[in-house]
Amino acid sequence: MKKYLWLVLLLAVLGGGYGYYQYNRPVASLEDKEADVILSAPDLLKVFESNEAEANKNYLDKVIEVKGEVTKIEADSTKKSVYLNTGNEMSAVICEMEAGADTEGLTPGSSVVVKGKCTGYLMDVVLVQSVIKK
Amino acid sequence: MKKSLFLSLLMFTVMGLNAQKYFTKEGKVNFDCSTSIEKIAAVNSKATSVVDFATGAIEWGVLVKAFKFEKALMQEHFNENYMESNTYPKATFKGKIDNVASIQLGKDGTYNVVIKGTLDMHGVSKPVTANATFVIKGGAISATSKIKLLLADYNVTIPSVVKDSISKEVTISIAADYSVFK
Repeated sequence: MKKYLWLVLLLAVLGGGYGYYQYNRPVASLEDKEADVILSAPDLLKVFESNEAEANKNYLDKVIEVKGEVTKIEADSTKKSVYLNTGNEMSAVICEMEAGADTEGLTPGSSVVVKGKCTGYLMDVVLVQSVIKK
Repeated sequence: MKKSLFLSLLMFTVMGLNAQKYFTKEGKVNFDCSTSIEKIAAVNSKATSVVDFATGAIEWGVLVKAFKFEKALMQEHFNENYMESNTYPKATFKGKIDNVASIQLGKDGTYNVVIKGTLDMHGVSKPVTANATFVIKGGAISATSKIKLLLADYNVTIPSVVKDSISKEVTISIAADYSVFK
């Protein structure tokens, strides 16, 4: 009888520990995640411009690897964003970088491969938690 | 002669109108429905906004999936159970600044205005009135506002198990630094 009591207690502790871990789990980095789709920045914009509903279905929440040319880098105290040229002056692919992501050496004009999670399309296609692929 | 005059007039009007239009793609929208039991807050720093000081028209748009939470599980629940961001990926606000004429773009100052419009979120459109503050300093234009919404108004239902940890009223704070729309 006592044996079972210990088992139950052990399970409760394990379960509690797992629950606590899940509850506190931070948003996972994309650094080691494989990309679901690989596209160029102009192509990614085109996909959303031509059929947004369809593109939402195919790309929302997906990890996308985008190749493009940097047009500008916006930075403030809390975050950095890398804008990629799409051939359309009004609409970019905007990659909001993961906190602490290394954008050293990136300047307008440099070509880059960025991996990020697609959140959708407003005027631009927005990727979040982005990391530079080396 | 007449044609060139017309053209230059047209150019002038177009330029004049352009100078009144401002936008940002780096607007910040904070979302908070914390209670004493639990901190539930998220930030979205990729909001797009356009404001036309000639007509007072103002628009905001955010991608729901671009809200960042500290805890992954909260972010998942926010997207999957509450906002259903696969079905409703965007939230938008379209409105008008009531007393836009009071804002003098050429003059430094703090201008308090009232904005009335429609907020479209989670498939529900509702009229919203917001107090906003525009600050003009050395030609730079920034704006802030804060609104409170009832989740129930937007068909967001809170399961009874967690009803004490999630506030029924959510506070949304926005901030933007606008640049000239070219």
